Amino acid sequence: MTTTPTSLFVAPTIGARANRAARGMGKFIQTKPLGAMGAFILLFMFVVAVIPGVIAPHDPFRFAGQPHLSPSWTFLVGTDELGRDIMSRTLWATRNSMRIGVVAVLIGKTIALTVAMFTAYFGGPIDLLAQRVVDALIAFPGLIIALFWVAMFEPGPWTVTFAITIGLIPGSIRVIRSRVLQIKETNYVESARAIGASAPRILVRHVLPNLVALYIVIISLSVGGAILVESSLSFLGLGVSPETPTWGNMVASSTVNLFLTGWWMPLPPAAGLALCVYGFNMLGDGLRDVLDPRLRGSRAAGVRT
Amino acid sequence: MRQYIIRRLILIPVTLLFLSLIFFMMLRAIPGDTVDAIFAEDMASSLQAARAQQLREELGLTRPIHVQYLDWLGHMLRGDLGHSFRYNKPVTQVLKERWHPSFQLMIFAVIGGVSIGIPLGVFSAYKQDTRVDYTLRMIAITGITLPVFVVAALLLILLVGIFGWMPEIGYVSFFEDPSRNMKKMAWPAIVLIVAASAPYMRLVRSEMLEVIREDYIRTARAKGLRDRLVVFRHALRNALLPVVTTTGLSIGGLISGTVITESVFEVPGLGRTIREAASSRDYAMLQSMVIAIGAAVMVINLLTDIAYGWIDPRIRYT
Repeated sequence: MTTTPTSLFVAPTIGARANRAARGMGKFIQTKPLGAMGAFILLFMFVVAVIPGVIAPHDPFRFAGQPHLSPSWTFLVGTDELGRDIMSRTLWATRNSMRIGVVAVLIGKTIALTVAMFTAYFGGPIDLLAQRVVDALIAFPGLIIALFWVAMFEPGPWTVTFAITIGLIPGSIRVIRSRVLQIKETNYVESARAIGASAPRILVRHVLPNLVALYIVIISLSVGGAILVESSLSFLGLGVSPETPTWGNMVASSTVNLFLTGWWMPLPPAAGLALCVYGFNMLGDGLRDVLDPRLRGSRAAGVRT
Repeated sequence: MRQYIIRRLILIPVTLLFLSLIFFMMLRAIPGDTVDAIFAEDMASSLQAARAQQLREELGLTRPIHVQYLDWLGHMLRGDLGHSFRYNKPVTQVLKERWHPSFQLMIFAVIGGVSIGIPLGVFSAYKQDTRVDYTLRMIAITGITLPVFVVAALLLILLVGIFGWMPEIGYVSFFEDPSRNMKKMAWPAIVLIVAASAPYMRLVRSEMLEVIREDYIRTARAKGLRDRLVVFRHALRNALLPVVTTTGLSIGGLISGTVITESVFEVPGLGRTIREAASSRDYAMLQSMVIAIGAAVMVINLLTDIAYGWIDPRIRYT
């Protein structure tokens, strides 16, 4: 890179920024082929999740043919126990399952970031209280917390989303908190405090930017697990309503009457789920190695449920 | 060391107290209570409403929250966990009847996971970058990616749909009929073992690859020790250290795994109880499960930490 004196003072143009982003992406593909593959898989699945109605050949909610049909040209992977097209339902399930998983992770990790940042920076009795709550909740696997949560509230998509969210918070609070404690001791935070910067200013200008990489890595590593919890809940019949197709309740409904079930019936939703979880885990691993290698081996980022 | 253990032991009941308090507050903060759950649909008629009110008073739900909590706490400390509406029995009795299938499944899962995952991991590392290694790694990644319920569903459909044979499901106590117990428990156990062995495989492989590059391994080889001796005596011993920690950490995954497998294979264990209690809003049962799971996980984590310090003398707890 050539540095002319002016480039030190002039902010990079949009073109230069795009260039740098493209170069970064190229490097990511070269050094982390698996991560890039994960990103590619996810790109494909996001497209499906955004426009399932355009791609799906049939209406996912109404019966399209006889129940339990074998795969044919009209029904690529056959029909389910109510005669609905499994292919179309799988495509719609991509939207439903991914939306719940992604939203839950975004909410949960943002709460974790906020709580961890404030309690770790200010310390005191609130920090101590938050620590004890985290200690208490961290003992529980995500699925169990979600089961307790759905038992208490009215069933529906938001209940399911929040049920998954709760289990995502404690582990990340611990990871982010310890990072904030490190940042707090750095020279630049100390100097900022020395020249009289206020606490909000230090948090926003010095602490938060140093947490962005960690935040991104934690999010990408957690979505796979969140989607697994959502699917498991649906499978147990405690997720969103059974008419709404999700990967979990599709696998469950294809095991309802085993003697009528074709062996191929649970495969499309299972494949969709596996592909999605695999994609997020690969992308997360790649991003972690590039952005925050210190997190390697830390289970607190939470991959498996 | 002793001080460390004592401090951790004291922390367990404190955390449990906290946990029960959180759960208790949440239950009371939300609209609807146990009585609403019992009467579910037919709350409309005034007769039912009157009966519900009467039941609420009988159960003491009309008292202030802190009185209710202290009352519950007092009963719990005396070993009375309340009455389960789902099973219409005292909670303690339900727990007593249902803990053994889950316990058996978990023991199978840990033993099976360790005894399949570790050898395959060692083998995979030993054959690094060969076709065998790639195949084993693919299997491990598949095992980690596939959720337990998909493995269970695929296994059932494979047996019924392709081989046309319905396996025996349900549960018989081992002490009543050992062979039928094994026949019935084999399938849920296989599913859990598949899920449990994949993480061990990956962990042992990566640890072995790291240890194999150590100086003492080169020394062992240089002095002419046989390959097998180097792998098992020198490398594996050191590669196994993190496995202990993983076993402790995997307990959470195992608990979720038993919820799923017990539901699929109709095993009347604690996992299935959690699901049934959750779907019928049996709060007394759920509250006891919170305590039971929290205590189990914390005790196992403590044991893991102690074991780790005992195996690896470099670790000092203060």
